[in-house]
Amino acid sequence: MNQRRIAQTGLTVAMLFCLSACGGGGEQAFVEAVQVNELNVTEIQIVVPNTVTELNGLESYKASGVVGGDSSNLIDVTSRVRWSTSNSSVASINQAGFLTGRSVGMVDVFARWADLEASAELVVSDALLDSIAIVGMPTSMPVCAYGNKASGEYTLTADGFYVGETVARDISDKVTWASDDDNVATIDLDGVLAAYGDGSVAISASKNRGDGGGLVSTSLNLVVDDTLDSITLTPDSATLTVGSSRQFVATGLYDDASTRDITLTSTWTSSNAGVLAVSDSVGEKGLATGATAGTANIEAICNLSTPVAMASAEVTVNARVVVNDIQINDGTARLTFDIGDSPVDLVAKLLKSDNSIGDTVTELDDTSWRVSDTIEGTAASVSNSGTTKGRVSFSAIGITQIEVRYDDGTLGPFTDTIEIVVE
Amino acid sequence: MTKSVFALIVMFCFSGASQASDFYGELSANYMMIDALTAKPAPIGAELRLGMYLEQGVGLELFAGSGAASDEDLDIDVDLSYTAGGALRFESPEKDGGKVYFLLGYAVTELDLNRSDTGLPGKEAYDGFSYGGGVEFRMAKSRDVFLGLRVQRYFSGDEVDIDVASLGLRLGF
Repeated sequence: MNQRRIAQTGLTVAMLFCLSACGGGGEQAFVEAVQVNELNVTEIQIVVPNTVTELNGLESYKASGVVGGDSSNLIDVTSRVRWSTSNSSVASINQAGFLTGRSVGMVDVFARWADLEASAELVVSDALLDSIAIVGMPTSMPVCAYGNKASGEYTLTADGFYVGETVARDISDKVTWASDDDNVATIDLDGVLAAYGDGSVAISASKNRGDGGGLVSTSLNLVVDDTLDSITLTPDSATLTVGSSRQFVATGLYDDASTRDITLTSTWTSSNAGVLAVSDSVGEKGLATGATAGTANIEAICNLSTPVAMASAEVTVNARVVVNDIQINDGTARLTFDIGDSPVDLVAKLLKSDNSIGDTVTELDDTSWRVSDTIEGTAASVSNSGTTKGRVSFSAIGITQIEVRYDDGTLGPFTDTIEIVVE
Repeated sequence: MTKSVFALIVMFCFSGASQASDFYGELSANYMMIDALTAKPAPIGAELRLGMYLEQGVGLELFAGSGAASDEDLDIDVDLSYTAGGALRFESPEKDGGKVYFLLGYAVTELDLNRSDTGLPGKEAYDGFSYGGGVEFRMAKSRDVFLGLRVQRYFSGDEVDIDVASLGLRLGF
């Protein structure tokens, strides 16, 4: 090939690669179409937190997909849709659905997925917060009960009333929730209540007015009743091996015969932490883990009830069964044969820490056989290859010690010997 | 599409200057294998290739094709609007009338997508690096007529791949 043609070919290849590097295409449209049909979504809806939001305030938008045309069958598609607004200088929204009011005005918020689209109107307002109303405060709460945001039980919300507006805005995720006595009850960032002790407590919600002019705050009293009679644990007993875990659930029985899961408000302990570790940490409450072999009790206490309600369950922790040895012909020390019996096959099996028999490993690649000693007379031989591994051959009188060794890199090495007597 | 036209022009320019002595054309039926997440539609297309040898065993070819039959998977109907591109062809020496060859180039493929009879999202183009290879067998001893099988990747994306298996007849002239 002459130099000119080499140059032409090289340039052509380079050009093709340059063009290829610029490649791409409408992958997103195709992928979204497939996703929509995979999930059988026929419509998307925007879950509108508020139709009016604060200047520089944050709103969390969510999108739901209607499955199969059934408006009661919804799935969360917030992270799948493409979010946008009609005017990003008034309000901008990121792909997680968080919208920020940028300037006073009105915008449409769009959620698009494949050819599906939903929109919602939003006003960005500079109106100041005038007052807050706490919604959902129970008349009383039983001790050691706690709420659930998903179901709304014992969960508070906050309505904000703004100057010049007649409709309240939901500002639950914008207020700061607080309790004035955590020994009686607490409230978390989501407005979920948890009761700990008999008494009355003030629960407050507060938020900046919006012009730097201070806080707007309100509070309501919550009464916690000490009506807990007893606690039961599920399971009521358990057996673990060292290193394994089991989640326990505490159920409170109240004096009106009702029951309630009180796992998260109970204090969890172990009667012997050296045997059984019990977690009392948030997110792991009631999780028991075997530490060493033995027996211990897991205990759950609603410790501010009067009298203190408590339950315990016995947990037996067994040592972990591991392979820890090998034996030839069930541990026989010596076998005697006549010369005419040759050859004979030996069998090697693994042994477990609970003295049970494990796998037969006679012919495995990780098993090796050898003559370890000629004790007397003429030595026998032992095969260490293929399917004849462990086969002993002899043609003269003598006593030979045969050794097997197993090492798979994880288990072992384990060894055992046997004496072969040829008479 | 603009990039593919540019590629064709570039390659024609080089072709005109190469003073190659051997040209060829190929007509093939294409079975497209599209992989987009769990959807795997397989439309059918037809394609024409024109090429010239730059040197013994090295060819430069242009191709263009269109759809013949659409296919539907996951309630998404997929039809081939067009495909076009160019490739360098590297052939093995002929042995017992047979050759193997490899292709390296650029391709643009436009698909017409129709989700659940909405007509949307419509036409979407996919372009980028293309590669493949095949085997072919001489059909007539006295003439350069070859029957060949080819497999070629037209597009590799993060979540969409487009491959083609084709049966073609190639004529040298």
